[in-house]
Amino acid sequence: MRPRLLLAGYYGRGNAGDDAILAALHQELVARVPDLQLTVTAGPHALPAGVERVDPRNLPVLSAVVQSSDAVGLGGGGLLQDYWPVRTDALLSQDQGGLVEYLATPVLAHLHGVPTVLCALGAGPLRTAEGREQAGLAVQLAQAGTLRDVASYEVLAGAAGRPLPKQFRVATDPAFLLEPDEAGVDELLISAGCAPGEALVAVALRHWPAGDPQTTWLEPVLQGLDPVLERRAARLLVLPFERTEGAGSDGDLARRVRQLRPHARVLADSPSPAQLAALLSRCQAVVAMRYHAALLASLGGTPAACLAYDPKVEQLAVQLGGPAALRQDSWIAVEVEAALEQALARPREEVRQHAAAASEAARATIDVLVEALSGPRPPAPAPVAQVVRRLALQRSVQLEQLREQASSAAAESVQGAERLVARDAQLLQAQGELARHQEQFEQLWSQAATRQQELDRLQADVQERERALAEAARREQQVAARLAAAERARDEANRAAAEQQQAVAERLQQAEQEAATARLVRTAAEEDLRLVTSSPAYRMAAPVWRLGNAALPLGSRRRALYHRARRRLDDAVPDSSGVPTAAVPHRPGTLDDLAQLSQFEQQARARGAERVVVVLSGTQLREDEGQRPTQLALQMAAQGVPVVFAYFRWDHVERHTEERRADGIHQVPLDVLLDQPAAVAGMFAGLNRMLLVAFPYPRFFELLARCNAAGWCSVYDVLDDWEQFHAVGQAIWWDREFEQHLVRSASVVTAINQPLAELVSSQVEREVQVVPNGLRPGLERVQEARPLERGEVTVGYFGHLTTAWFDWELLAEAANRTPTWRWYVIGYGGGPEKPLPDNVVLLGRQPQPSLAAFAQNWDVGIVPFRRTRLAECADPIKVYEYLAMGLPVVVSGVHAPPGADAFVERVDDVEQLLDALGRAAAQGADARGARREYAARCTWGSRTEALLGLVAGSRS
Amino acid sequence: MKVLFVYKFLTVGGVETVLRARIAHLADRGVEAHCWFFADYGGSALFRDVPDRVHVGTPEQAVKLIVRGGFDVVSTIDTEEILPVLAALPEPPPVVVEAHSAYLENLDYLLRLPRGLVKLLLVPTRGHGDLIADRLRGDWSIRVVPNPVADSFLLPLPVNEIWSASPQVAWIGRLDDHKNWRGFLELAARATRDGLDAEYVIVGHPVEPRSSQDLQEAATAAGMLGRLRWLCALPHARVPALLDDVRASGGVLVVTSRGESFGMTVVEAMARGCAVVLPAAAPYDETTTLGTSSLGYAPGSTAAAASVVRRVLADAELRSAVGEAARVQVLERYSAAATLGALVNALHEAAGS
Repeated sequence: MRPRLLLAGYYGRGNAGDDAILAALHQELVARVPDLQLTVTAGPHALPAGVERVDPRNLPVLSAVVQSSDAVGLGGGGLLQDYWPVRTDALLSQDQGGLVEYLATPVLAHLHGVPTVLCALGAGPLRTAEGREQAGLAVQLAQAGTLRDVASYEVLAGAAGRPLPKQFRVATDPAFLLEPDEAGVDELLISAGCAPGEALVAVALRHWPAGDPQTTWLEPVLQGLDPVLERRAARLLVLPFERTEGAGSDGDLARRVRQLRPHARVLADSPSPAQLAALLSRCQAVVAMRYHAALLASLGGTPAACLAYDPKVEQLAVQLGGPAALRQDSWIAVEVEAALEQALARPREEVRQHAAAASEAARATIDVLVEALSGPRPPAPAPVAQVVRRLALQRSVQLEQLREQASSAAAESVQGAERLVARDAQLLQAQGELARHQEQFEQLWSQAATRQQELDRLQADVQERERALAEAARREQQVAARLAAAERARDEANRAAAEQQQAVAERLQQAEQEAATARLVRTAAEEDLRLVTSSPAYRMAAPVWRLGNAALPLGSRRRALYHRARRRLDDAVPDSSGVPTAAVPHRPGTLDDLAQLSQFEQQARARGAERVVVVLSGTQLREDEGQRPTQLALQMAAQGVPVVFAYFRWDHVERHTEERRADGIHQVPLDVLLDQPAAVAGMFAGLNRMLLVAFPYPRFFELLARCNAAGWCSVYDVLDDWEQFHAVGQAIWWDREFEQHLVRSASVVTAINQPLAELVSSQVEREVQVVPNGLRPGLERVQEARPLERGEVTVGYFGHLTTAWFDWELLAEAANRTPTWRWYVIGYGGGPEKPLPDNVVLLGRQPQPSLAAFAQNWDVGIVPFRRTRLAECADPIKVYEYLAMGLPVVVSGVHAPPGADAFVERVDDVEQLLDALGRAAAQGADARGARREYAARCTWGSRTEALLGLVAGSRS
Repeated sequence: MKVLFVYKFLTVGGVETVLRARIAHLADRGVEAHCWFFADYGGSALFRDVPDRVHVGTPEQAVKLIVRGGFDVVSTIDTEEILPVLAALPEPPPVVVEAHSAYLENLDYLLRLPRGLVKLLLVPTRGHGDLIADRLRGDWSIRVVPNPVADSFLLPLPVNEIWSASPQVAWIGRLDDHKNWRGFLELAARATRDGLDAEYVIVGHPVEPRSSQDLQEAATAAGMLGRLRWLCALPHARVPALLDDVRASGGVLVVTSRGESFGMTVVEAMARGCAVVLPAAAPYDETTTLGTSSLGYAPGSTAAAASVVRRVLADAELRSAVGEAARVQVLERYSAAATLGALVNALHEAAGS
């Protein structure tokens, strides 16, 4: 059988102080008596887990619980006071309340012969004879107990009229035993609007006098707090201790504080007592009217300035060793400010020590309760007295049940009477309405007769109108026939006019296009002229021409003779350049680039295209320059994918030079798209749309965001280590943050080789796929032989010659050491700073189709690049081209393409270079087929397929 | 019962989505719902399967339909233009005014409401109702009818593939001062300074020509452009998938708005089980349970917001618990079925039936 203890108190009523007492008692009792069954008289609010509740006004149930208990405890808390009327006649009835309600439990215990102890009970004030009498009764009903403080002891001794027996001792409030709980305190403070780590001064107030909504003392108290808060840069945190609603509640008071001091924060949540203690330990001080606010604060060493509305608060201030509590006549600003400063000056350790001492004293209550559970029952009264007690108890219970039944019957009678009254009222109303309806009926009957006469007259009128209407209809038919003939004639005229208008519009459009073309041609011509006239050659030649014009005036015989002689001379001397001299045609511009793009979209749809690619390129589409965006665009178009190729231009006049519309590629200046990002993102809806970004231009920000949101698959194809270009003064627009944004935002990120992919991944952690550069098939075919003098070993290079990556020193040193070798260099864009050995031949820039003819004379192709980050992140296309031409390759600075280690050797210095070249040249023609086979797998076509495969597998 | 909902523009927006859901679900409760718009800006596709229930035209044409069609109630959604025309009728139908806008200046028309005509004001939250009551003179009947979340947000949660290396911290809203996107960037910068490794996602379309440039400049100035993804004008149909990604990445949705009437974005994120960090203020103290189904911070405090974001990103258990509680709460309170009861009651009350 589990021991059972019943505690009578103010539990489960939403009062944090009483809940703290219960939590502490439960914590300590369970530790001492693990199988204890604890029941409390309680209201509807939450109780600690495992604690049962009983309604103190449900007398039959309360009596049964008392009877089944091993002991009854009265308290803790200040239960014995007569702030409210003491109705002794209501004891053991539903009307009982306050002091009398608390006494019901020990009275029942006495009747059932169950021992009662006082449990850290607070007493006073007792200002009425009834109050003192009932308090004395409590002492008489108890066998032992503890009082919360000395004042309570003295009040009870006064009520009893003599010193209390020795088994009644002075202890402290059990809440001193509570263990603070830090869990969830951060969230409580954040929910209240307090920033983490913010300095806080808590305030726990109550309406006083109880329920009085005036609180005239509030503003002076707050005025006392203001200067202290300002000096300490602290925020006021209001703690409503009693969770009830309405005027006069702590919540109402908290709202008033917020109205008066908007910067104050209010703890809106309902923490557990242990959390409340932990929260108070975070505060610098507490201003406490509430007894348990000061008590719980002391557990963590937080000092209190107490406002004593009741003697118990004064007692507590003494127990805590702090400044004396302020009585109500001292609740003025200057006193409150002084008290709070005095509290704040206390060392927290000193407060903690006082709390620890009080905690030790509080254990006496636990001892008393445990002893009561295991101790003997009070001696049984005489048999006659037992019968009388039982009868009294039964009568009380029966009386309550009868009162309940009577009350229900009375309520039902009242409801019945109310229903009867309501029925009477309805009847009266119905009678009134009936009379009204009769009156209305008579009026309507009279009106109906009048209306009938009007109706007869109207019928005659209608017949007359119908005859007129038939005549009108006949005339309308005649008019309609004439109108139809007129409309036919009008339509005919409109059609003719529309055809004329159409013809005029077409002529007008044609004229506008011609005019626009002429404007652009003129602008370009002016630009050409400006370039020519500002060139040194023109400036040198101009005086000669002026002299010629003076010597050979226009239209003169001398000029005609000159031109005849000049033509003969031209015919005799062939053109020495071999380069076409025709001017590069200027593409006619369009009046509306977007309109043309829209037209391209319609054509793509009409062709049944399923996908489209928009390439954002830093360069124009020029097939012979072999740029990666160009090659990818050409390949995609070749696979039937419509391509919009948007190219960067330095000014708004520049246009593309190669027309590719017939190949399925529409070219448009990049700035046109960037000016209309919303329109572009909305184009080609319903198709698989791919945005291929070939350089990290910060102005792509909005276009990228809109395309991503509209469901485009965005691909950032990393071609270079742009930071390195930027560092040497190129790509001046480059911005590290934007490139990271682009990498993060693109649906797919690709890079041309592994080092570049790793570089990008190291900056923004995401997957980067390698799609190497490729080869344009056919470049390896020799169109016309270009024989060259050969050496013991013949080495060749073609490509750009900028000193940013071309290692002229390495080439010169290698050539110096191999006087019997021949070194050929084809290219442009730079040159050596020092003279080269004689066995190095610079062939200048050569057309792409002729490269294979030159390379046919070589034993090895080389890529002699410096060991820089720029080169490290490059994937030279020439390597694939050398291999396609069947040449072995030796490189420095760059890496062999994936899978080409057997054909491409990487070296670090001149010795390694010469060794590798010697070995490569010795291979002869044996491995030529394998090299070509490898190169055949590296076409731009296969790269494009790889890229489209990545896009198909991406999330966009 | 027959009701006509009147709204200004027919686009593919949040209000239209709600109205489409109302047509479907109100029929189950015996209410024949029609919608009237003053102009069609491409939203008619939403109503393709119920063409006889959607009408477009001037306020005067709307009134002709109201008279001929025998409507019991007319409900306007922040659309005051219809009110004077209705007031001119000899026997106008009962009118309900739904006040949703969070922009206070957009609610000024409420000060001019014809008292005899308007029977009820409907608001999405109690807090918004209090705000409106403060602004209105006189004693108006205000009822709370929560907004329903679209069905697509209530579909079962998928187990998403985690494709983002860092947790995503998302922000959704118009790029204007009221929604306070700059506050989000400040939060991001602060959290990053404090050592948080996250990706920041802004979903929002520009409201002014310079908005895009402003965003780029502000993100660059805050040093956050490299950590930012921007999805401009993401279609509403794709938002559930985005929120699923945010949840799967171990991320959160953050709200920095200076005030909302309801906060549909928050409810949508909650529906997808995504933890939300928001100001501990109205209306979120009503639409969410702070600390349980959402995580609050002191309104206006970037430091507090960043602190909460860091804490929740570091605590998978907390994130999961908040996300789960959020979804349960939305399913209980904000499905179309759950919210329509209040709407139907209000319509009957206005109609006097």
